Formats: sequence, C-alpha cells, structure tokens
Amino acid sequence: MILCGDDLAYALTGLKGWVFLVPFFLFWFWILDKLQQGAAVWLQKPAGFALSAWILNPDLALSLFKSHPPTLSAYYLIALYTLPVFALLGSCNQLAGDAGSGYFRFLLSRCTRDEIWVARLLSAYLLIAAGSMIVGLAAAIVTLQTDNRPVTEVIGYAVQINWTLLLYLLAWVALIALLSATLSSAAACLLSAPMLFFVVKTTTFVLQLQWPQLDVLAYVLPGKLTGLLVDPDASVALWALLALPLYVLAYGALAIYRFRRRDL
Amino acid sequence: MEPMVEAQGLAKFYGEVAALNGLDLSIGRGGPVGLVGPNGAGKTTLFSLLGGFLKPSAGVLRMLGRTPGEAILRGRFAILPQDADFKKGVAIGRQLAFFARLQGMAAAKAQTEAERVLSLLGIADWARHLPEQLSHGQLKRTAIAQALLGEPELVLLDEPTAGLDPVAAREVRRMILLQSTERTFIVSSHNLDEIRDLCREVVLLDQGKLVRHCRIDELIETRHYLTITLSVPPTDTIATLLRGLEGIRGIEISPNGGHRLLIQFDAADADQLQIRVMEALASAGISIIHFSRGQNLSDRVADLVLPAHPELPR
Repeated sequence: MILCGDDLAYALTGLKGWVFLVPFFLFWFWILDKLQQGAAVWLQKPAGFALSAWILNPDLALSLFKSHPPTLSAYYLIALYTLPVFALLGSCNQLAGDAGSGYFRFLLSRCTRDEIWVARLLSAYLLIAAGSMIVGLAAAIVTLQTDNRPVTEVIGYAVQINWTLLLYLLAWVALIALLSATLSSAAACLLSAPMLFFVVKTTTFVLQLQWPQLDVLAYVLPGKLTGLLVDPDASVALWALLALPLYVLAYGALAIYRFRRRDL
Repeated sequence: MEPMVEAQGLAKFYGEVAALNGLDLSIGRGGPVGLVGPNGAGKTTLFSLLGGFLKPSAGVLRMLGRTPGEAILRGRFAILPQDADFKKGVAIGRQLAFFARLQGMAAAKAQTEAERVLSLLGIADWARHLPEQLSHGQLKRTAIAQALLGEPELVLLDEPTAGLDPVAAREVRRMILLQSTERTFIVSSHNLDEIRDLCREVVLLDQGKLVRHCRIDELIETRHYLTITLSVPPTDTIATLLRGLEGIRGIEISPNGGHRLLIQFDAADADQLQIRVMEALASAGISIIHFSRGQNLSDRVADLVLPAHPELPR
C-alpha cells in the first residue's frame, strides 16, 4: 500500500501522470462537448441510424443507438477504441523507467520484486481507472441532459459499461506491465506496444490467408474482444467480459515471471 | 554463529563472460570487511547479487541465512548501490522517509529517521533539495545516508568514497568506524589505504574468484617491514646504502620509476632501526615523503593478483 500510494502520488504530481492526464481529459472534454451538443442523439434519427447501420451493422446499431441511450453508447464505443492508447500513456512507465535508472536498487532491500510489481500495476491502473470513472460519470450526466431516457435506465447502463471498461482497462494495463517488465525505458515501452499490435495484426493476417483457422492468433491481444464486448447478443458480450480476467491472469503471470528474473 | 554472507560455487555470467565464477566465501559478523580486487574482479556483481539486483547463474548465495530477495530480509540489510538514481522531482528528505516507511516505520518515525541519517552524514540541510539540484558527490553521500536507515545488521557499501572530496570522504570513513560497533559493514573500494584503515579483514577477488580472505594483519606483515616513499625514485646507490645498515635483510625498489622502498629487517629493536634508516637517508640528502611500519596493502594485493595477469606490466 505504501509503495502503491507513493507511486500514485508521484504520478499525480509529476510528468509520469500528466503525460496521461492532460491528453486524456482534453480528449474527453472535446468528445463530451460534442455529445452534449446532441451528436449521438442524431444517430437515433433515420439519417443517423442509416449511417451507423452502414458503418457498424444494423443489429449493432439498433442495439447501441435505439435499445440503449445513444449518447452513452457513443461514449462506450469511443472509450473502447481509445482506451488502449490511454492505457499505454498512463501505464507505460510502470517498471521500465525505474528499472533503467536503477531506482529499484534502493527499494530491493526494503521490499520484494513481487510487491514492487503489484504496487506499480495497481497504481497505474488506479490512475487510469479514476480518470475513466470521472469521464464515465460525466458521460452519464450528459446522457441525462441530452437523451430522453429514464434516469434508472441511464444509470443502469452507465454502471454496466463502466464496469466493462474497467475490466477491459485492467487487461490492457496487465499487457503493458508485461512490456514494462521486459524493457528499460518508458519510451521503449511506448514504442513497442504499437509495434506489438502491428506485428500481431500483420502476422495473423498473413497466416490466415494460408490457414484461415489461425485467425485465433489475433486473440493474443485483448483488442480482439472489442467487437464482442458490444455484441447485440448479450451472451456473446458476457463471454467476452468473462474472458478479460483470463487476459489479466496470463499477462500478469508472464510479467511477474519476467520481472522476478530480470537484472535490475 | 551464522555467517552474514555465504557463497558456494557462486557464478554469474553475462553471456559468455563470467563476472563471478565458482566463488566460495563465508563472511562472519564483526568489524568492517574490505572487498578488494582489480576492475572486473566481481566486487560489484557480488554486491548486486546480495542486493537482489541480479540473479545468480549458478551456485548458492545466502545472506543472514536467507536467499537474497526474500521478504524476511526487509530492513535487515542495506546497500549503497552503484548506478542507482533517486527519483527526480522528489525532495531527498521525502524519499528517505519513504524508504524508512517501507522498512516498517510509521510516517512520523520515518521522517525523524530520515533527518537522523542525513544529520549523521552532515547533510541535514539537503533534506528539501531535489536530487537534480545535488552534485555527484552530494548524491553519493545521500545514498550512503539511505543505507543507514533503521537498524540494518549488514551494510554493503560499494565504493563509498569514490567521487567524494577528501573532507567528505573522511567524514564517511569516520561514520563507518563509529557505526561498525553496531553492525557489520562490507566495503568495496579501490582505495586500499582506506581499506587498511577501516577494515578488520579483507576479501580479495580476481577474475570472479576468491584469491584470499583473511585478516589484514595476516595479509600484510607489519613487524618486519618498513615502507618508505621518497622524494626521488630510489636508486641502487640508495639501496646499497641501506643494505649496509645493521639488521636490514632486504630492500625492494618499486618498479617503473615509483618512489617507494620496501625494507625487510630482522632487528629486535625496530624503533632504533627506523631512526638509523631515516638518518642514513638524511645524510644522503634524500627527503622522505611517507614512512610507515609494515608492508603496503597495495603491493601485497598486486603480488597476489599479478601472477594471474601476465598481460599487465610488472
């Protein structure tokens, strides 16, 4: 707790946290402003719905923008697709920077590697999760103002999508923890994550041309679940949600294995 | 009594390079222990393994009866590491208090403890300074201060006075001597005069192996040797002059134009012999820069290490 609290305080008062906080809140301020002006409500109307049905698919568009409050659904979609980027900004320096600077050498006579790893994962997660919760709350308030929906429906849906986002976020933070446990600078981590994404995407694409069944390789990254998390079929979305803890466990186990063995 | 540090067949490889290669060592409690050896001997690697920064490639390493990295060692040992930076943008006093809290102290006690160790090093004024505002030497003293937080049984200091000005280095040595009644220090240094002044025993490493582990007075003969540094390089004439004195058994002139003479004697009255030597040198018009009883630790270490390094000049 002391380790986690100190790291969180350090992030909130220094560059480590502001690299995430400033772009995150600027981005969401801009998006929520657009949503408050009714950008998502328009998607309920015939022209907007036709467009969203063409871009997504009719069932999904119906589920998101007719069956549920459209403003919250728009927030949910945007959050799902941008969350990996913000997770990377907020958690790329979990371990890598301090491993490279030798700072951990001051800690290792006072705590174990496992304690450091867990504390850093938690502090990075809590920072981004707190930001997400604030934005999620703001999105719910905007929805109450713009969408003509019952309060209970908006609150229930907001709780549901925010829980999903928090779990989805944890999977990404755990993946970045794995990269951070391997590398020796935050910048290297920041660069390697998009490269990993690109390599997985490209490899999967090339391999499935020859062996279509190998498209499962894309599930190495939690991003593959994005489409499933918004699936109109509730059981599919639920399975995708239940798979997220498996990602956390798998990435976490690999990251802690690597961090226990690396030279600091 | 359980050894403070125990290594059996300890090895650490970086690729094909062996930093430690089958090290067997046992260090008990007591006065400060010097860890010496040429560059690449494995001193810092040994410290890094003890600190839990590195993992051994092979062998067994125990510290205070435990494997480095175990939670039970929390606060029982402390280390001044090499190549470790404090967090930028956070005041030194706050960082030390944080370390103290990690050792189990309550917030208020941790703050007091941070102030205590900074005062011990004479740097209490720096508590509010940021690391980036301090020089290399000031950061080194701050890093030594963090190694004194709490009540560690074992303190590992890697090159504690390297990069310090002479006054600060003397303060650090004084602090080590004062504290060594309460805890065991293992001090790695290339300054062998410092090791001789500070330590009770010495561990000599070379090429990742133990060359010698003994008390310093077992390594350097103090009763039958004089080491003299002259103002000019000693010549054969000077050696002949001194060999003529009663009780002198041998003269060694330092190689490569050095100014040092090592005199071996068997006189019963060493004090009188010292006076005769000084008088003889004065009569020959040669000034003495430094005069000490016993062999020089640097020379003894070189004697032990050089046979394994045929590439080095003699």
